[in-house]
Amino acid sequence: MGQQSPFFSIIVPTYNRPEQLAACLQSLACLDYPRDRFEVIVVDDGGVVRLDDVVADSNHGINVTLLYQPHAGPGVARNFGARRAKGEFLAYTGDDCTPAPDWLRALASRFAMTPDCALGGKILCALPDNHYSTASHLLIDYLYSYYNASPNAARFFTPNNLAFPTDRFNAFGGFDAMFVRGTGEDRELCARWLQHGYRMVYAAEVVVSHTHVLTFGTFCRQHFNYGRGTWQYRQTQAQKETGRIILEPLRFYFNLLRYPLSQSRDGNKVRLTLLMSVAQAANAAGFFWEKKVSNK
Amino acid sequence: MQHAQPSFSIIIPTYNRPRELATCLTALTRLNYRRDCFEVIVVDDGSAVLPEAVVAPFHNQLNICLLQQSNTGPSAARNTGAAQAKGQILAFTDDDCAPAPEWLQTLAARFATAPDPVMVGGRTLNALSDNLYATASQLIVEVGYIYHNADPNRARFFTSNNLALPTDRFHALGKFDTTFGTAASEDRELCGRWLHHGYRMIYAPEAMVYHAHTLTWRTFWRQHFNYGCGAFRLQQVRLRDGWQLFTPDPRYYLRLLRYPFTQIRSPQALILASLLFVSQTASAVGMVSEWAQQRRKKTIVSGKG
Repeated sequence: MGQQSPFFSIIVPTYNRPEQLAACLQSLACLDYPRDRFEVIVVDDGGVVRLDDVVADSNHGINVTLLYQPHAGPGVARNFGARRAKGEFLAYTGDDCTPAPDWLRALASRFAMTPDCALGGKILCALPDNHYSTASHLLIDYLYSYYNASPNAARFFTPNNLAFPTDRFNAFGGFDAMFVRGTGEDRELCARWLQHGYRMVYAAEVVVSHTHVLTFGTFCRQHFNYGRGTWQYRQTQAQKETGRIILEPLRFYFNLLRYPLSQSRDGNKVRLTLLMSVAQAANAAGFFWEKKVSNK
Repeated sequence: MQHAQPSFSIIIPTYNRPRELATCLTALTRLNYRRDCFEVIVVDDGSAVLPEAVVAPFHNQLNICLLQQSNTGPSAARNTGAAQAKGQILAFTDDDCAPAPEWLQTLAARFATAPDPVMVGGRTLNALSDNLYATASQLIVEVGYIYHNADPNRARFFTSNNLALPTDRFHALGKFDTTFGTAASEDRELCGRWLHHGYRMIYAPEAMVYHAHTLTWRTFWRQHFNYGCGAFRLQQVRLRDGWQLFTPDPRYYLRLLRYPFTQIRSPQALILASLLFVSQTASAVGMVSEWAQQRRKKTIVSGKG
């Protein structure tokens, strides 16, 4: 029962986003946590932009290591970082994210009470004026409220704000490498983690802001890719279990479209509901696209 | 870890908690330990409905049996289970607990390396961090562990929902004392007796069990009231056996009230510290009421004589 703060390895997979990465590292340099009790591992997932300067530049007295891998998706990059991690705990975030200054402190006090759990925190939208980003976040909020209704028996986290005990994560095998596009690998990991009898705890006080600038085009593509990931995820589940693809109950989709009405400001409600419908359509299109492609 | 796997008997007393029991048994199906190296013994302590239906689906996943006794308290139920145990090591947990997948593996590793005879106690974690009363109760156990088990190789106190010891030693020692009934402290008494024999206790924080005991204001109070009753009876047992009485250490209480502030951020810590104060009051009231009750009984007996 040491009084010393636990050692964290923060892992940031990145792909061709040097500016966002610089902002992310900037925020990590502002963490209110002893400098000698965490390291940052940036994993370049085969991007074309050299990141040495970005990493060196943002090195404000924090220990940053840059790793490189040929492009294989963020899941593989996160696993690579985990194997090099020296910390007792892994804390994952994205290159377009900025964790709150008390991020590691909040994680540490949670791990003090449940040291063998996966911990997922809250993800805030840093671009409230971008309707597409707001709609994407609303979708994540909805998924969290649906799957994590009981915070001590949570079922779904995205890897932008997710932490694990290092030993258990590595022994468990990490993220599945088949999800190259970085959609669906989080759901697969969460399902497998729970299947092992391990726990997931949602910690709302562990906060990360997400700055993902979206346009109508990228918004549609994002949800199209989510759909493709969903199909791949359902495939892996079907192989393991019944052989049948299982969808959520209809209530899930109905409440999803109603969600913006309960959450957002008046003027935005209609627009957000419309965008959620577009997202669902793109998602369905992606789902069936992937089905067609992989059946060939 | 190349040690041979010792065989375990997991003993679970249960009383009117079918839903919790199902969660507990589900957790046991996920233990990463050879299936032929552990058995599960559920002892029903006279529930209104015998949990046969709860246990039945687990027969094809676990080597499990269900025993039945009339309602005489968890200690008696643990002894009933232990009497039937075929494993080399008894591992005790409760129906409202869910051991982590590595539970038996980590316990086995400790038994393999520690000099015999040894009792190994794991770490109990609160599975209900959004229930303030459950959090407060767990904090008290944690402070107790920090205080009594400061040296993990010379531990002095384990709770009965996460402790393991060799089956033969348990029987030779004389099992759990059943005079405590619902008043807890039977675990403290067992640990005291174990140490009195000169045996060793090792604290193994890596052997984790999640405890999901939903508490309300009333059940929180009653729980700590019962702990107080148990503490009073424990003193009497020590007195009867000619042992040194347990003297309260003010440093312990100070540490207890300060503990939430070192663990949790401010607003909740204050509430928790107040709850810890309430728990200690409940315990004190429990002790006094137990003393008064026994005095009254004595007066009646001597009045008759």
